[in-house]
Amino acid sequence: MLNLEETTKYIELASKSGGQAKIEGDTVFITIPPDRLVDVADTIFNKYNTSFRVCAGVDERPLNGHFSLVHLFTDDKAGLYVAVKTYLSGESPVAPSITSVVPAADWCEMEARDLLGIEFTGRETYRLVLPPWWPSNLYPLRKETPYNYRPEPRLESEKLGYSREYGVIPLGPYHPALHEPEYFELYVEGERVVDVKYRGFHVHRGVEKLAESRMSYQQVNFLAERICGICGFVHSTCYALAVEKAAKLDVPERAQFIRSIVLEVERIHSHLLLLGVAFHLLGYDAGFMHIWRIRERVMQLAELLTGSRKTYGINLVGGVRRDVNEEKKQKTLEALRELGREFKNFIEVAISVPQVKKRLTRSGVLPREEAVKLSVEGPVARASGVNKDARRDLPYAAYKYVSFKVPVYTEGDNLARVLVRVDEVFESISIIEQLLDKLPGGSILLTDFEIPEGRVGVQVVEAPRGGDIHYVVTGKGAPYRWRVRAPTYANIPALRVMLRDQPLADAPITIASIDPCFSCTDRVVVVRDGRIEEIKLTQLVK
Amino acid sequence: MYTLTPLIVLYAIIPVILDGVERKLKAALQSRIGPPVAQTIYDLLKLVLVKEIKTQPTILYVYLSLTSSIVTGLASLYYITLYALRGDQVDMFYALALFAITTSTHTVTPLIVPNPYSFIGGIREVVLGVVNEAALITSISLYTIMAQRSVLKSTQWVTIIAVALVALTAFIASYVASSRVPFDIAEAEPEVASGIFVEFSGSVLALNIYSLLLRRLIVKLLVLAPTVGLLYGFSLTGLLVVLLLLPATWVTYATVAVILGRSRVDVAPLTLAKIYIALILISITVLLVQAYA
Repeated sequence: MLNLEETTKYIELASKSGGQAKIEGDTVFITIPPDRLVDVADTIFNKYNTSFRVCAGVDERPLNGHFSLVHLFTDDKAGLYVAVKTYLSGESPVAPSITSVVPAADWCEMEARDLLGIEFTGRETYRLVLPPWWPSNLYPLRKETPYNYRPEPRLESEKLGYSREYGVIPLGPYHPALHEPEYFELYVEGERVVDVKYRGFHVHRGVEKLAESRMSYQQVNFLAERICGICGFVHSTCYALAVEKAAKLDVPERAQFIRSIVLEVERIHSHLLLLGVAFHLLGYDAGFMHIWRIRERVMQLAELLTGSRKTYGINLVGGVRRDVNEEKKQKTLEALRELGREFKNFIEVAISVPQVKKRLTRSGVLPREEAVKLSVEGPVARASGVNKDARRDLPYAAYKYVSFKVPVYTEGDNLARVLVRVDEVFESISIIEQLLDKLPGGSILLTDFEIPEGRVGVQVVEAPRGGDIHYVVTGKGAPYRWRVRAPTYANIPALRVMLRDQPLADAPITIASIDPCFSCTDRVVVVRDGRIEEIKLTQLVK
Repeated sequence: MYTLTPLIVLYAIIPVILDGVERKLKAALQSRIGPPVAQTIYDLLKLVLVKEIKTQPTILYVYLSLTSSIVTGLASLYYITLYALRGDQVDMFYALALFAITTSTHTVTPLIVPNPYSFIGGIREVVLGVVNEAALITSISLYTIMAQRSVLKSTQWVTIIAVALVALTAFIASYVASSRVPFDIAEAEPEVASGIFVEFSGSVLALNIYSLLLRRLIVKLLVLAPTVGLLYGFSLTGLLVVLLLLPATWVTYATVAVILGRSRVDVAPLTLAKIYIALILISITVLLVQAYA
């Protein structure tokens, strides 16, 4: 919960570092010179024990001639957002890397390098998001780059790092265990994984650029919902909340209740989906089928409340588009009772199946210290003893009106991650029941409002996979800058720790245990005649 | 002497039909409608008729290996039938020898495919096979010897215990040899991308699937024949009882597979080895005690 007294230390820190700080709502905005960034990040992350969420580069040259880099932390105990901003040169932006003190900043720094051309000192750099053939001097998120500019692709494959010392097992980009394209290169000794390399971002869809370039504030809600097929409503809510926070809009309470209800429906759906996948990966297909049968009830519930089984499309900046009447309320309560009973009966049996229990226990362990260091999110963090949940720590929508338990386990293994989700299904049912019981009257949408330019809104929404974060700088009729970081982005780096020294057979369930969410791909490795061959897209088409 | 040719033809069809029944049963247990019973036949026909894409230079060896696995499997079924009719142990030993060839050829098939997934699946099959086939052949051999002795007329409880233990070992080994969950570690779809099947398509995949289904039939008949011999004697009636019990056994195995999850290559063989060694040692000890008493 928000504790404004805690803000003092951040203001003092900014002052000591030759910068300045201001407080707006639940966010402390700190601006410091680049040379103090590492020290300030070290203090905030390691001394104040905050969570690092993401960093965002912003091309502010049209506004003030500079690039800026914003590191976003949350002080979960104090209920505070902390945004640390540094201005960089408009000609050749260079920033010190904070990865030496905040390892979790690795990917977001490389993303800012790829997309905005911000160079980082004090670390090894590599291309993360853009494909290898992308021109080196073309930065998509710079304002002068048109959103529809397409450089001519050079169709070539990339090598990740084939090992002669160990056996190499390519897992992906297309693989039965992976329900979306991603590429893990597992290095094995016998059936034991000794190391793993990851390559993602095969098709970066550029939603941020699209939103900044040719969409209106309200249209972006629907684009945000399409970031993810499973937790899309989380993204649209997070975006809407960030804009509303920036514009200081007083959204009707009933709308916030409906948002929370639908968010919990989405959480139940997501967890049941993942549990089904986990059982399938463990060869327990009866569990997979039954859990997905139960999940069907949740999809019907979503249809009742929103009109859609998935990708609900009811969020707008200022509220929601669909109300919950008395009939829907009663039907929802009835459906939840039936769902809870069915889930309880089945899950007790499913997690007692000997092979399921044995293979989940002590596999894919993520120790607490690694979880903290990498700032992992959601059930992955809570299964490793990190007690954080944005619904409780940084309350948004209507979560401050309900009481719920945040399940935390200390084992850090695959079983703990499954159990966190099982417990959360029951908690979500309870939360929806409480919200329906307390549902206030009134309107559901704010219609007459203005969004001033140059404001900043930061919002975390606890998605089924962990904290989803949206950072919005308001512009004229559309976001000037919109930065999205889904929870999987924070959780994937932890897989290296979780997969090492594990049996190969447990690699798929360990990867699935973070409930990963990925995008599409267009390259492939072909193993032919006992040799690994590279194949070009043009050859595949032929 | 009975003419067994029609029966061999029937044996060739039975596993495909029973697999369809298994899929329907699994669907029912998982609250699904499931495919029609004839779906496996449709699948195999489609694979046979589909255009062949030869992905590997070793494909000829794969064909040869799988064909020999199927031919020896059918020959093994012939001797099991003779055993069920006559009760001659020699027939059963022939059947076991032929089944060993069936299993070996089926097991080495993925190892001749130069693909990492096939190789991993093949090695897993070999590791499990080394433990299980030894137990299967030993326990069925012992069971066959015991089934000849009219042990049920014995008043010595040790004898009955010994037979029960050997029968239990044989049934466990036959279940494991049927490559169902939790022992389908070679085909484990998730970690090894459809396991040994990953490089196969068309008729060679059809042969591989058919070879697996035929093995499932053989391992059931290998334990049913001595069991029925023990209970009803060896005759044409006994053979009919074996054939009547076959669907029930198939369904039982399928039901067990539905309620379990998949094991791991570092867990399953070790656990099985401990169980088999314990069961076989106890059985042999009991038999020796009885022989010297």
